Amino acid sequence: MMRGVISVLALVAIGALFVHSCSGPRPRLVSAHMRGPVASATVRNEGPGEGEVEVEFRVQGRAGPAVTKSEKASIAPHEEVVVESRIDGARGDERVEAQVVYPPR
Amino acid sequence: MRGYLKRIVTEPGVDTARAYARRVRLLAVTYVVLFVSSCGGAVLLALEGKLFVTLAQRSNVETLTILFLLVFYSYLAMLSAPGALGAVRIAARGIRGTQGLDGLGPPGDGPYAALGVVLERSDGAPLTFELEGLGRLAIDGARIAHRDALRGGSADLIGYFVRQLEEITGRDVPIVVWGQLDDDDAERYLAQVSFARALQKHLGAGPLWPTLALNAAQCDELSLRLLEIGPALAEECLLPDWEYSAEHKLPVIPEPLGLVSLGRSAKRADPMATMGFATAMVLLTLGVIVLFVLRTPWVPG
Repeated sequence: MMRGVISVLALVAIGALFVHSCSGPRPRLVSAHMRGPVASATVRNEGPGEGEVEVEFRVQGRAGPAVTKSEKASIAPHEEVVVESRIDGARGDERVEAQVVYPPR
Repeated sequence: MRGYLKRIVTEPGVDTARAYARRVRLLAVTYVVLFVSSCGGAVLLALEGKLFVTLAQRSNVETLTILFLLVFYSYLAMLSAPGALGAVRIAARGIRGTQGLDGLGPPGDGPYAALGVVLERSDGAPLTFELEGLGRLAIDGARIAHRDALRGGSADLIGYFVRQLEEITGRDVPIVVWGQLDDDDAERYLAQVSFARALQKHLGAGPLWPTLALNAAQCDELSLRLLEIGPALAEECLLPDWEYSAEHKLPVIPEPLGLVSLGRSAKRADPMATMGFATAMVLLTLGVIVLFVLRTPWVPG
């Protein structure tokens, strides 16, 4: 019985160590908008881990197909960063959608 | 160590009728947990497949591991499904208070084992123990078999009987071969015992093979102890009896060199041990998977 309890506690400790030391970031998209020809996304890391995240932009103008672009950025624990990507030919009035992906593909 | 292995792996729950009943209930719960967690693991892997493929690709883990886990979970779900259904039927019996065992098919031959000693009654009568609608335990020389058993019978019943026999007579009665696991070896051994008994009869000599004669009082006590596990045995009929051997290996210098490895094997592993271990492994891997989903690990950029 005692041995079983110790084994379970050891497993929980390993899990806690993993979470503490090996966690990646937990990115959340705060906002996304166009700033002239540049698509801009604000990303906040809500986790205690660090790592590289990928932001996928999808810019849709009044006419024509959507333009997609992705950028990678390193993010520290609990940090907020702005990720930008220049869209050739954009005028600034396009609709922009962004998605944060972790781990980057 | 041998006693520990026997209690945990080979013959758990054979010491008392109460322990036997507890083992059956625990086995039923184990089947349910195994089935639910295996299905849960497979579904979670399928739903979060993109995350795990990315993690595998990024962390130099073979992507095939995900497929292996899917197959592993599916196999265990299939294996435990009849047990989970049986557990539901046991629970329904408990709620309704019914005792019936419908839909289990006609009685047939159950498991058998070969004993290290010949068992016989001192008055020369056949050595058979009725199990009140759940078949009978028939002993012929060193062969002990569960006859007219429902749904394949119970090998642990034999373990329970032998343990009680040891307690009543004070003699060691080892089970040397389990017929379900190695019938060739069992038949070879039992043929030798038959030969020794025939030779003994022919020579008119004393026992040539180690023999234990049971008197009427000992047989009555054994019958009583078998009747005590009747309700638990009826519930056990609703659960599948998966019989396996078990082998534990510890590679000190692992493959491809493989110079030294430590090993220990048990000829029979009770379903409680095998399914319990499978459940522990499924829960462990499922725990890691859930942890990966909730807290995605760091991967190199």
